[in-house]
Amino acid sequence: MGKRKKRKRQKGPNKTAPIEVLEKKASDALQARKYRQARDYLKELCKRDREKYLPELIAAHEGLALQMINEGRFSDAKQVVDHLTDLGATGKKGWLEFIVSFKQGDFVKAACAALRLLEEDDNITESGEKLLMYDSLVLSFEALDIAKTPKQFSIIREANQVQAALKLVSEEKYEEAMACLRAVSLSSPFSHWKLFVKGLIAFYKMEEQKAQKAFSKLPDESIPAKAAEPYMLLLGSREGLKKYQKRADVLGLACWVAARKDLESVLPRAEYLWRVGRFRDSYAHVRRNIEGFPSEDQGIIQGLSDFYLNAVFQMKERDADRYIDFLDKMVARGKTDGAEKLMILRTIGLWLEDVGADDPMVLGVWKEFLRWHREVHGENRDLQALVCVHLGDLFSREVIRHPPFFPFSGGATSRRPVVHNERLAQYCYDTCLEIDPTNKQAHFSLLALYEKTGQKSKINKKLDEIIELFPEDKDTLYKAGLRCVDRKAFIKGMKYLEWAAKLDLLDMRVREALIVCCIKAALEYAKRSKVEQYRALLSKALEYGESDSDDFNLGHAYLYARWATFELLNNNVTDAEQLLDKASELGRHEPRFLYFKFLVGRLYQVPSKYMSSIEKRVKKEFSGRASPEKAIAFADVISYFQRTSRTIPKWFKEEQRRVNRYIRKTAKGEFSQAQARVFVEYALQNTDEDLAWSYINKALEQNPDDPYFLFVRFQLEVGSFYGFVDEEELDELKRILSLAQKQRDQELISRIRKTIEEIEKMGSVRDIFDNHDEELDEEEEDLDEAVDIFVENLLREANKKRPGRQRKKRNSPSSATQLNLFD
Amino acid sequence: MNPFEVLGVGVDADDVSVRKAYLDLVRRYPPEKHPEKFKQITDAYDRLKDKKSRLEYYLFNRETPFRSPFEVLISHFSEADGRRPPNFEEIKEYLRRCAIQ
Repeated sequence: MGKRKKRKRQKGPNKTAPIEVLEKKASDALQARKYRQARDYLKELCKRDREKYLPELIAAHEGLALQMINEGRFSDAKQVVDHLTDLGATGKKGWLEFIVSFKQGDFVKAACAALRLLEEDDNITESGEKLLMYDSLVLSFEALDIAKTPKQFSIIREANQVQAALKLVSEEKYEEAMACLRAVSLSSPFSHWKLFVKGLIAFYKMEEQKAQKAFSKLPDESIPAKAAEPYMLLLGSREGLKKYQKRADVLGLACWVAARKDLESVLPRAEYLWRVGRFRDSYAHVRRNIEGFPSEDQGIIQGLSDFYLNAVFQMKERDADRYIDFLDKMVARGKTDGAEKLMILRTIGLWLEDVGADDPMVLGVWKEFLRWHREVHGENRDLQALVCVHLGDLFSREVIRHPPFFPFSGGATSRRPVVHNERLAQYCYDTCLEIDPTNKQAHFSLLALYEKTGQKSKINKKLDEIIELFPEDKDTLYKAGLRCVDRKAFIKGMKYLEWAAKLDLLDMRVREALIVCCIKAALEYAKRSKVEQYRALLSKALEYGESDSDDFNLGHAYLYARWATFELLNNNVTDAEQLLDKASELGRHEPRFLYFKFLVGRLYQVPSKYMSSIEKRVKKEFSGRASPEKAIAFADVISYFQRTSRTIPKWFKEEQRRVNRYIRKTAKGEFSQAQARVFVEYALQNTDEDLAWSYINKALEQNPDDPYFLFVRFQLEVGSFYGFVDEEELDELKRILSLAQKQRDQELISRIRKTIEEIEKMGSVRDIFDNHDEELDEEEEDLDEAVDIFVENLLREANKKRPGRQRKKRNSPSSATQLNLFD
Repeated sequence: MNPFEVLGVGVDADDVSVRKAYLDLVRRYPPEKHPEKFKQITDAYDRLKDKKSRLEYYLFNRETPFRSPFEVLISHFSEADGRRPPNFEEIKEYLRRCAIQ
């Protein structure tokens, strides 16, 4: 049974009530702005004493009329105003007649009323009311023939000037419009219109600051001020929008000003929905109301499409999930077609990549995208190839290893990166090469994949293929050269490297590799006494070297020293002496060069009869008072040999001890912080912690806030037990980071950051273990992952320790192996 | 801002038309007079100068400089070449609407 609505009967005044009661009620109603009620009581009171209560009755009518105007009930207001005439009211009646006409949009009638009122002038107290009357004269846009007095003539003349100026603006006659405005003085009641027109001219002349300045001076209650708001919104950019974003009327008018009337009814609502976080509704609203949205074609619709389909990448996770779900459902339900489906599939594909979705799912979306792209735009092999390479790169990305949970459980982990999905990466690259067999990026990415996965034979095959396809590619030639050196195919390697060096003579990396290749090949010839061959090769090495360099590979002095050694191997003493003389002329750092010559001779096994004199000189250099400069030179030389020798003979270990002893002796004397840093690095490379400590302690005595030594001390104290670093220690590390930042030591900053990252990662894994009892249900997946990491690490360690299952060590063509010069 | 929009070329534009659009704009907005606009133009050209980079932008761009749909309109309007006032009747209509609202 439906509910019957009870109609509330309106209570009128009690006709028998005493005057005092009616007076009280009328007064209360007037005060509470309940004009209708007040009018009824006052009507009753007027019946009893018209003369006394008529002014209050008129005031109630006026109040009621204004209330109705404000509520937009113009015809009701007009009736009330007519009733005022019957009551013989003068006062506000004229104003009310004006405002009713104005609000009803009858600007000619409003202008006539305004002109009459302005002539009288006395009854207008509010400045806002006056402004509105002058505005109505402009807005009438008619030749008003009602002027009777000079004052009225003058007012109308100025209003017409403003109208004429506006007309000239619409015709882009800006200079003439400005001339027209000269008739309107600054003290004129139309001066705000003058400002408005000036603002408009500046706006359309792209003089934005000028326009803003003019618009901002407009009086708040005037029509030009209202009309300027959309312009200000468009001029104010993001800040402007912030100010007006809740004003749908201004947003709508801004669309009009921006010559996009079609968006007037759509964009303000879309903006509101977006602002309150109803992203899907906003999209749906725009899609429903703008024809051709979304679109790939140029223009604002394309801009909006771009926004709506890329905004998801800036959303919070939960909002993004819902938004993608919404887009996905539209596609799944077949509601999308053409460009929209294409654009949505692209967005979903990218989003799935970002959230780390299953590989087949990502692949599936992109396959669908390509299929649909073909339908919409036809065959585009470049685009297909690009998507394939993109997916290949995505699947061949290196997986970040979690640090072992129990770092003390075993030795170092494998340095080879783990590829995310080798099979799919290979599939994508192969597909790309099927589409475009000469796709350079795909060839190189495939090469990188083989390098990551250590597939040596495939690397070599691919390099040969790439060189054939792209003979002018320096990087390929360089890589191929290194591969050949690694395979001891020196002549072929030299060909590639020389070719690469000629393509870019400034690339020191290529030149160094070429020199190394020459030295290695020369050594082979020297051992077989093929004098001409090794001399030719070393001449070539000199050609690509640098005469004034201190580099052990590139510097001419060091190349001469090697050459002299090869001559001594073949007993060509005179030639060797001549070469050493040349080398000595270039060798600027005597102890460094001397020690290099000595070690090179010993490593290349020069007969001892040629080594005795140099040995004595080296011994002399090591004796006596230790100097930090010499210590740095010795450390530099010995480190070079450690780096470039795959196997280290016994006597070399004794040399290392000799250098260490010398550096330890140096610690007792004076040294700078920079020198101490070199020694600490050297000591850490040689895992000689005692030696490192002797410098760290002394350096920290000299400067307790030196971030480098603080960091090294931290590392030595904590070791690799990152899982057990507590909050306090982490805070200390962060303090060291801020010290390093103050010094702008970029290398140190990145080292510290990496350590902090690892410690925090370790902490998050530890937390999962700590909390697993309480959060087992919610965190089940995370825990599984943590356990997987843990088991994986244990298995990896166990496999490493089983000698029978140890894999043969493979050497990738890293710079370390290619620089191996002494085996 | 979308680089296609900045240069005023379509997604399927070729190298020649992209270069032409770029040079026209650079001539119109020299760096000494319009440093910001010039930077925007050169950035856009860098992103679109060859077919591969155009395709890459079309396929993999995840960025949007806007925070809400209305910003798109504002940006589109401020980037437009020149502004033309509406005709007189439209100005009248506009002002009268402002008065009544």
